[in-house]
Amino acid sequence: MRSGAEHRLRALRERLAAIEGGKRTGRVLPFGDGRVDACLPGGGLPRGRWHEITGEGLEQETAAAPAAWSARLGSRLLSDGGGEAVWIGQSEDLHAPGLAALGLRPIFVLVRNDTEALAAAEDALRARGVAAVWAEVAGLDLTAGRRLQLACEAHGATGFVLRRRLWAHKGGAETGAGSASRWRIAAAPSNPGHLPGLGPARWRVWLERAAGGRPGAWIMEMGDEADRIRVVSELAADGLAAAEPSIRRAG
Amino acid sequence: MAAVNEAGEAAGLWRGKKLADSLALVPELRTADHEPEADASALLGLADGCVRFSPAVAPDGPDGLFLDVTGGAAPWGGEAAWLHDLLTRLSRAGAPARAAVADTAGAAWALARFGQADRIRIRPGAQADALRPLPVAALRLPPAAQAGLPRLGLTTVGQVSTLPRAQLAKRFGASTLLRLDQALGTADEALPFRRPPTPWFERLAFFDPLSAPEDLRRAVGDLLHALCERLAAEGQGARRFETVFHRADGCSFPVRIGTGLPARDPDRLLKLFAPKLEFVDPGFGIDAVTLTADRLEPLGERQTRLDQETDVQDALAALVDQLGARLGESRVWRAAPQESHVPERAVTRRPASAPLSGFGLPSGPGWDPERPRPMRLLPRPEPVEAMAAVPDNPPLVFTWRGRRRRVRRAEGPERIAEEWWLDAAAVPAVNRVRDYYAVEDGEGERFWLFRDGLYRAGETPRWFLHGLFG
Repeated sequence: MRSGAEHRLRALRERLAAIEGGKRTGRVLPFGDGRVDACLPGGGLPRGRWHEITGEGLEQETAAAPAAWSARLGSRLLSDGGGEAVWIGQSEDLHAPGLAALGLRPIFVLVRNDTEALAAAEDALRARGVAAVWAEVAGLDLTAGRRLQLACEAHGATGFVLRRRLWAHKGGAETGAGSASRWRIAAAPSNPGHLPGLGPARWRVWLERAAGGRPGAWIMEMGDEADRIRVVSELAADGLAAAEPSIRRAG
Repeated sequence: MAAVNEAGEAAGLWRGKKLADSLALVPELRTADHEPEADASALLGLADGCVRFSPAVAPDGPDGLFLDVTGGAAPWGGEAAWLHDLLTRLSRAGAPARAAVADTAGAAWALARFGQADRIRIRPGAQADALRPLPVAALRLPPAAQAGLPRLGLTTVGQVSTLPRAQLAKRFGASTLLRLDQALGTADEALPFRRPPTPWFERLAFFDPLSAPEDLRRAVGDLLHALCERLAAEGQGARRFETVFHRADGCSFPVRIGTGLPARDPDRLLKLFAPKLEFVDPGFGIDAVTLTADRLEPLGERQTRLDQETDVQDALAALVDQLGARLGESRVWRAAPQESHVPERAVTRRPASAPLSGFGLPSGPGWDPERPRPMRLLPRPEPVEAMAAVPDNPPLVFTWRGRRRRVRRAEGPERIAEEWWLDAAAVPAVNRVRDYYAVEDGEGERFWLFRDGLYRAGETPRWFLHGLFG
């Protein structure tokens, strides 16, 4: 009796997830840290979906931290699955050497407006051999979001939509809808330990919404070639990092 | 007077007659200023319009066109019908013309200008007979020869062609002989075709002019299928395709596409054409569509086994072409390192269809990973107000875009000398040096700042923000 109810409950959950998530590829990009992966359906960033990434404060215009974080995260899609990256921007300020240092050597596409950016993103996502697509747009509506999702499903490519408001854009942009997750990224002070200079780059990362998951906030750090991004600690609701265990070294 | 119309000729006027004399003869004469440039560009327009009759059209002088009809008249049902269609259309377009079809360009030129009829077609190999009665002017001779031959009593081509060749060359120059040989077909002649004559040409004509966009699309699709089938049969692919829409009123609209790699997949090529077809104005209807392929390269038969790598490369090339066709080819690129110390010049753009050696992975030639480079590089460095404790140190505080930031950590300097030798106007000076620092503020935001020039006593150093690390 009880097991039957559980069974039905599980079936219902699966159906719900299917409705929520559309056609699932099932593949995910795990962060490798239970604190983050537990918040995401399937234990990682869903692949074959698109994700919305915004900045904070001035970053909404410059979009450097969201770009860097997503580039570092997405670079794993290229080494894991193999394939090309395409980066669609509306200004020419993306610096290829900086991007290469994060592990990304994309095909650059320069567009004039959001419409062109979204159309180019759809084409790129649909092309075989493309593993990940970044598109910098001011905003997109529900229809555009659905179209992106359909394009992602063609070959399981993953989309990163960077919400960026350039000075040229006027008025309020619609909030992205239909994304598998929405993230807000801001810089965080680095911790070089006792060494002078800068430590590895850090970000405050808010997972604001995840279809089939739950929100969360963390401090993440630029990792090495193997792990790419490390989760340092959880972020309290007030935006302060939870106490970080101090680094101790023997000897 | 540079030109006279039929009514004028009937009234006894001719080209070259003085205007004052003409006005005396025909007081009601209406004149317009002669515009040679406008005439020349109109002739080029006409040449482009004639592409429907032959892919190879060359303008000749101020008032003539050469068309290469070799083997191309079959769709009309022979050269006679072809000639008829050509002249009918030209006169309908307001350009009545005379035309001749012959084995050689020289003979056709002569017959069109000096023949007995408006439209002449001579049998293959018959040019010697046909040219015999024509005046020597029909040979396109240099002016000295053209004036000199009649003075010797040689007024027809027939008379000239019987002269001993050596003497003719000695007296009137080798070019006279060459012109004669070109007309008779014993010497070749290269014509300055607007488009080089190509066998990669397809044409569709319609009795009922097309105007619906989907019809245009279907027409281009049919042409592409026909042409690509021939390309495949010869193991060739092309990188440039041009389709020309010929309107019933004589206007023509060329539409061109290019691909990064040689291609012959009609469906894919049609996709590249599709967005551009919207801008074709069909007017009262389009009655012929032509297609030419250019920049041919050998393209192997697609391997029957599923070759993943080739497949993916093809798909990427298709994507790059598609985006390039829609946005402009310069808007799709890959970044490659360039030997330069100056950050603005460290990146060069390569066509995106050329794959990286490492296929998608950050390998191949790269930038020095030991030198930190920002995620975003500002198009031009922005001046910041900065306070440094010691002039040679990174600033403690700086203000950028109205926000004051306290520098918590910094790394540097990395000294970069400006390449003043590349800029002729620049004067080599100590100031042509930038000291770059990567700094982090209290929030963790990272910036790429530089001090302009070396520190010198009594001078306030100027600081600029050049990039943002994410």
